Amino acid sequence: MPAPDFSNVQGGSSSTAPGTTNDTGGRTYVVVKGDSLSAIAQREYGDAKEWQRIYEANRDVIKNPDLIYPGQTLRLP
Amino acid sequence: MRTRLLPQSFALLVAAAVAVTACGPKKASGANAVKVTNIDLGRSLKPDLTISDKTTTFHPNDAIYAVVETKGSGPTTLATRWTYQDGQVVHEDSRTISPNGDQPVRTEFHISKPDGWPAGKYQVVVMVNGTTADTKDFEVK
Repeated sequence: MPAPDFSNVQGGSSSTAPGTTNDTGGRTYVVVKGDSLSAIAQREYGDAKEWQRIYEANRDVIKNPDLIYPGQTLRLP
Repeated sequence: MRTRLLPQSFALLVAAAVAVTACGPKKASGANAVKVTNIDLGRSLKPDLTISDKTTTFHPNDAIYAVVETKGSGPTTLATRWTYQDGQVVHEDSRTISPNGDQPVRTEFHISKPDGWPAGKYQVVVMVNGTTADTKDFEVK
C-alpha cells in the first residue's frame, strides 16, 4: 500500500505572545466544512456583520465572499 | 614580621578565592527560559487561542489545532512536526515568539488537508529551540 500523499497539507500558526515572526498581521483561521464568513465573524468577533473585515483582509484568496472552501487559511484582522 | 604577615596573607587569599567564586562564569540556569506547560488538541479555536472543543480523535475533514501553552521569556522558536503512523512527515512549521513576562503565552499551530486525512494514528512533536519539549498523539477515524 503506497504511503499517503501529504503534499497538499496546509498549515499556519499564531500566538498571543508579542514579537512573533511569521506574522501575517493577525491570527489565521482554517475554513472547515459548513463555514461561512459571517459564521466565522460571529465566532471570532461575536458579530456576524464583521464578515466584511475578514473578506477585505483576504481579497487575494476569496473571489466571492459567498464561496469559501474547507482548507482555506484566512487572515483574521 | 613574617609571623604577623601570614594571617593577613591568608585572609587575602581566602577573600580572593571567595571573590573568584562569586564572580565565576554563571551557568545558564534557564530559570526564565521558555518552557512548554501544556498542549491541547482540538478542532477549533476561541478568540483567546484556547481550544473550544478538545479532542484527540478527529474526522477526515477536520482542521487540527494544537495550542501550545508556554511560560518564560525571551526570543524562542517553537516548532511542530506532525507525523503519520510510522513517522511519515505530514507537516512542519515554526514560529518565533518573544514573550516578555511570566504570563502564560498560547501559540497555536494548525493543519488541514483539503481532500481529507487518511485514517490512522498521528503524532505532533513540539520543539523549543530545536529540542523536543513534548508530544501528543491523536487519531483520525
